[in-house]
Amino acid sequence: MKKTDTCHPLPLLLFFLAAVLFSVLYMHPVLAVLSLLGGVCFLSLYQPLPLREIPFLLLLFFTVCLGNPIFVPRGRTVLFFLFHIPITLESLTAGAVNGVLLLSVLLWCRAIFYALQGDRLLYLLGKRAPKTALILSMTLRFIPMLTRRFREIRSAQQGCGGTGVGKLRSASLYFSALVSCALEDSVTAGASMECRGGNLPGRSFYAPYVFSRRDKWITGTLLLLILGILTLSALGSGAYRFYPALSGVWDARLSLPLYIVYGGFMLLPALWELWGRITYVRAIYRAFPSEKETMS
Amino acid sequence: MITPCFAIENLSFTYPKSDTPALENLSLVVEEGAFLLLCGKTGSGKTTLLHMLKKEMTPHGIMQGKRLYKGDDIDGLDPRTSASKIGYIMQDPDSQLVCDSVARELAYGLENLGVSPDRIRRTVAETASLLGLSDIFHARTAQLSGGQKQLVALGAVLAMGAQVLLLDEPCSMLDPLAAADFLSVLERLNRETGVTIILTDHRLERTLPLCNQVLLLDAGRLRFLGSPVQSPYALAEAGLEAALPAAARIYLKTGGTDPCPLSVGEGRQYLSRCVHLKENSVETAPAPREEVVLSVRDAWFRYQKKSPDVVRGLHFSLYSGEIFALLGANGSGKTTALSMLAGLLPPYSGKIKRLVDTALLPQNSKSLFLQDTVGEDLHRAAAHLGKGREAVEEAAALLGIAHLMKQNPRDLSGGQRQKCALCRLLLTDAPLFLLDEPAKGLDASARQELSWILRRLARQGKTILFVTHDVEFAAETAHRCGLFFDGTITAQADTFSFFTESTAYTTAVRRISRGITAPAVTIEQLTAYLEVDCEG
Repeated sequence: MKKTDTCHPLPLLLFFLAAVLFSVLYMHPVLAVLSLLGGVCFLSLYQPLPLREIPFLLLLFFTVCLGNPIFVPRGRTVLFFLFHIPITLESLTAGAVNGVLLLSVLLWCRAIFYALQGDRLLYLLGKRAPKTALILSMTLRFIPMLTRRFREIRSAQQGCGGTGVGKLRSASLYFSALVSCALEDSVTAGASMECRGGNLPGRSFYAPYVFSRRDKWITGTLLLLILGILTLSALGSGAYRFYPALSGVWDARLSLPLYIVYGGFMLLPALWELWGRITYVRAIYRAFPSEKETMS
Repeated sequence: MITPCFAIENLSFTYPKSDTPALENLSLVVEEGAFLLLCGKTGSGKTTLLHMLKKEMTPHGIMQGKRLYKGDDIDGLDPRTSASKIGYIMQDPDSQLVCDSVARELAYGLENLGVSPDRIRRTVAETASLLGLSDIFHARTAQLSGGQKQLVALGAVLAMGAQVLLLDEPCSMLDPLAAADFLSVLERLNRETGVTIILTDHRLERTLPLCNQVLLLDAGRLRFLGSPVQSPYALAEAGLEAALPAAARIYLKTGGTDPCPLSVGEGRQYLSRCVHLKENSVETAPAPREEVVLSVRDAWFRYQKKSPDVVRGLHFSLYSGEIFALLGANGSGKTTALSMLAGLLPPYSGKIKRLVDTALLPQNSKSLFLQDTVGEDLHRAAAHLGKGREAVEEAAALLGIAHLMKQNPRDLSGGQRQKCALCRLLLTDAPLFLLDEPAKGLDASARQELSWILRRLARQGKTILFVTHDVEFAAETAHRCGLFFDGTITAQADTFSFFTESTAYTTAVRRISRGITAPAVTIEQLTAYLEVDCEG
């Protein structure tokens, strides 16, 4: 059971939007690392990334990290020269922070993709724009259907001696057959919609989610943390300079409170998911004590 | 006096560009709570009549006469009332669903009516519980089976508060088991909630025993309106005898008098009580066993590395000139096995020896046609296979489809399309035809014709293997039958012994006549044992 999936979509949207925005806005080594940490922890608990994607992410990180000193030759501390370009500590650090930011944004976007798909996305859209949400829902139905039809058409031709023309030409033949199929389907679907009052004015929207007391608490906590981060930033915390020389991570005012609040915010979904996992296992264990060997 | 659900007075309707009316001077009263079955041959006006009862479906054309829903003119009905109270369910389970998930689909109509979210949540939950949709409530509609899709379509109109259900051949795309499930849900709704049901179906054997009123249309005119037990003679006169339940066909053959048996149980009673039997013997055509055209040795198949095996040790041979029917339940892997035999899917273990070329007819024969007209498609295929126009003309003449050449393949009736698809297979010159559910969705006469065509092709030297759910079709058509179960053929025998030895998986005629007459599988075999002139 995934705790995040039981949550109302609105606080989820609030959190992810804020997480991505903060990640993009704060060019700060500690905050960037905290954001990445939060993203990694959350995803590994919620929907682990496939292993084959990790080399790609690392490559991306190193490209950004090493690319920055090559294109931005600023900074005071020269480490070495590469093809007569001075590679500086400051520029390298800025590149690394950029890389971390990029990774964390990518991970958070991935988390949004998993946590806010299908019905939750429709819900978020549907409140404002019921018609757009309906079109999206229809499209979501259409894509798998068309994929299936395409396969059907292709294998029908293959089973019957093929089309006798090249691959590309065949594909275009299949595609045109698919289009007429889709048109025919949409005529039926249109009739079916009209039969069920599809063009009546005053459409409402079905929301399968109830905004519970718990969701109110979650939203409240999130708002409090966001407010805290904004206030601390307004007070001058969270500022960081890379050039000409790196500033210390404790130089700005109120650094520690910001790190705590920011870290708390970014790690919140991971902690919550972890807590959900623990309470779930414990509840199962209590309910069925004799079956502990099957629990793992 | 209670106002009837529908009252139709002297209704006539003519489509634009048509000289003959589709409906002519029709008068009809449908009481509330009725379960009315509309019968008639293809083109008799059943669907037009059904469309007349729903404002949104009414086609363009010239209409005369009156049509009332609960005393109000259907044309003047408030759009909200019309949308919510009169539910319409179509034939194609795929294209009538609109949304991506079951929950959304059930809520769709209520959203249109502007019902508040709380109320929608409750109504959707009630409907899902009523129809047993809770297990698939969160499922994507694209992943459902045909039967589930029809149930969802039913739920979607019931959730809106439908008091009348109009269904246009709702079961024609479903396998027999799913069709029986769907119809039993309809019957339960009619009995328990008093919903009025009006439906058309081309396989009367499953709907006639359920309904409580039958309406027969012939060329747009009302020919019969009455109870199902009185209907068989009128239906047979209108050319629908082949569509009747086996018990009713036995009753007709023996010239029985009221009341007509409809179910297998009633048929057994009728046969043992009212019919005189005579000694006779049945001749069955032996399966030709000349040379092997295809042999499968212990073939195993799965779709993905870690998915379960779909075909598990398939082992059998096909002989030239025979018709082999592969029977089995939905999802048992029959279609997969067929694709393997056609060489589209390779087994991961075992061997498939294809000694001749094969041509495969897919389940949805629409996907065989890529062009806008049948003729264009067939000529193109012929050109690619190195043949001239005469090959197409010859094949078309053989199947009697020469007049369909200018038609769009999508506009054809099921039977016509199946014949055009067979024509496409004939062009390949492949000696072995593999057909996936060739009789699916066909009405009784088209089914008989297809059976006849397949037998003739076999006589001309083609070998045919087809996959089907339809035991009656298999019994009429095939030389040999096999039962596909658990990924392999568990039983195979010549058709007659296959169906006489099987206890449950057999034809209605066999179930009715078991233990009463000598073994008989088809109605023709059974009539050989009956004294045809006996009365009552």
